[in-house]
Amino acid sequence: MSRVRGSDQTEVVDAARRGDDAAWEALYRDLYPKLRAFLVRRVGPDEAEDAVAETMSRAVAGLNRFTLGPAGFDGWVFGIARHVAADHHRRRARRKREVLVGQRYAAEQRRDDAAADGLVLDDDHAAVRAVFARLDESDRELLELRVVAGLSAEQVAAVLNKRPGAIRTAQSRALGRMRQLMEAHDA
Amino acid sequence: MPRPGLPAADDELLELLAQALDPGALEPTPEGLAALHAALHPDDARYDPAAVFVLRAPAGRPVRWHRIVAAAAAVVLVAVLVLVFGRSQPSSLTTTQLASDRLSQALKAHSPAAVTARDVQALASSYAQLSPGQKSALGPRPVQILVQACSDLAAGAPAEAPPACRALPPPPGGSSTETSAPGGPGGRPGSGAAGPGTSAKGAGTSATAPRSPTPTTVPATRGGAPAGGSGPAGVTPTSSGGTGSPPTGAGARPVGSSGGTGTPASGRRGSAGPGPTSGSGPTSRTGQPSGTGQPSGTG
Repeated sequence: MSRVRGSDQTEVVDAARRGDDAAWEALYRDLYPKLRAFLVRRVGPDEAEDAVAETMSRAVAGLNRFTLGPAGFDGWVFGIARHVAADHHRRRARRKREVLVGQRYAAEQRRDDAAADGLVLDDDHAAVRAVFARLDESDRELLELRVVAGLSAEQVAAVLNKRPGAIRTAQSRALGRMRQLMEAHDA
Repeated sequence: MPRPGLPAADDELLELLAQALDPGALEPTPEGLAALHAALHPDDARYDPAAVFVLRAPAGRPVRWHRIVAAAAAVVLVAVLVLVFGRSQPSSLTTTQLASDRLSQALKAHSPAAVTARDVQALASSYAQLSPGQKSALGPRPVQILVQACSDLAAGAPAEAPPACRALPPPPGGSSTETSAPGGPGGRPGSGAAGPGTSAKGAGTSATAPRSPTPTTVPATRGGAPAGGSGPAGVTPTSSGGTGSPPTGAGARPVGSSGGTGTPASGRRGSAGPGPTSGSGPTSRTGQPSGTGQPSGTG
């Protein structure tokens, strides 16, 4: 499926703003893989599908307030997704769950990866995922927005309400920590 | 020191990370698309709202909207039925009341024939449609009237008895298996004054006086009285006593009164016979001698 990009996306967003179902479906299909992957990492695989639907429902309800800015349409939607994930964690916290879903999911990943430490990781991707799971929450979110959501540094800065330079610096530090972990893993 | 192949540049490491975290080509699920359309058309029933995840049961299962809608429709249907039949109840009640009144009037007028099988059927049908509360509000009177009417109809023309009569409770004593309570103690012995007795009519008959023996002729010193004749039979029409014979019948004692007693009859004095003989009149059985013949006088 072709991606809706650039001026095409602007036209599709305008059509969606007018209530065009086909335009909305095109945007949804374009965003769905990244959005679901991002939310799987945020709220866990069991709740990701619902979180995607909630994100899109909020986007539908708030499209009239959307103005094209540095984050673009994708950044705007992922900003909504972050709030959906945060709401999800707050509901879990109200239920007095001591371990938030995202943290639990990350912890489970860390346990899985730790169990695999003794194995010969001939799969570079598995090694990268194992190292990534050991990063701090803020580092993981930033890198997820960059590589999973596919947002640019400027878009991530808009989503996280930070300056692009700060995002680039934080990204560089996160990658440096990841590199160190990978070296320690190989050692 | 990075191992060989480990990306040294951030962009390369980002690319490696992107590949490692790549979820692959994913397509939206039908539920997700349905949720999108439901969000776009929240008031349009063509879109299945069951896929809207935000409305989920606490257990995490999707809310079964079709079940909720079906339950709501059932509630509405029941409400409509209650309204419709609730409004029809007063007419049934009025019909029952009218039929009850008609039957009641007919029974009071002692003209069961005026109660037709149609009346009974109408009353029974209307009464059967009433709720237990309405039946209790009417009281037992309609049922009593109906049972009475059915009994009358069955006695007159059993074939005309409406089928509704068979659904009624049996009349009292018809097939009841209840046993009657033991009878109470008898009343006190009666007391009262004796009633006035009436004496029976006396039926005494006077005996025929035997003929006087032949009189002996005695020299009359003077003329004797004529021989006594036979006394007339005493006939006493009442208890006042017949002549010559007392009443023999005792008065009836309806309440114990004694009969009257006859008064002694007294024979008439015989007239003097012309004959030379004299005689004595017969005596009544209990009466006084009927008389003594006077000397016939001188012969």
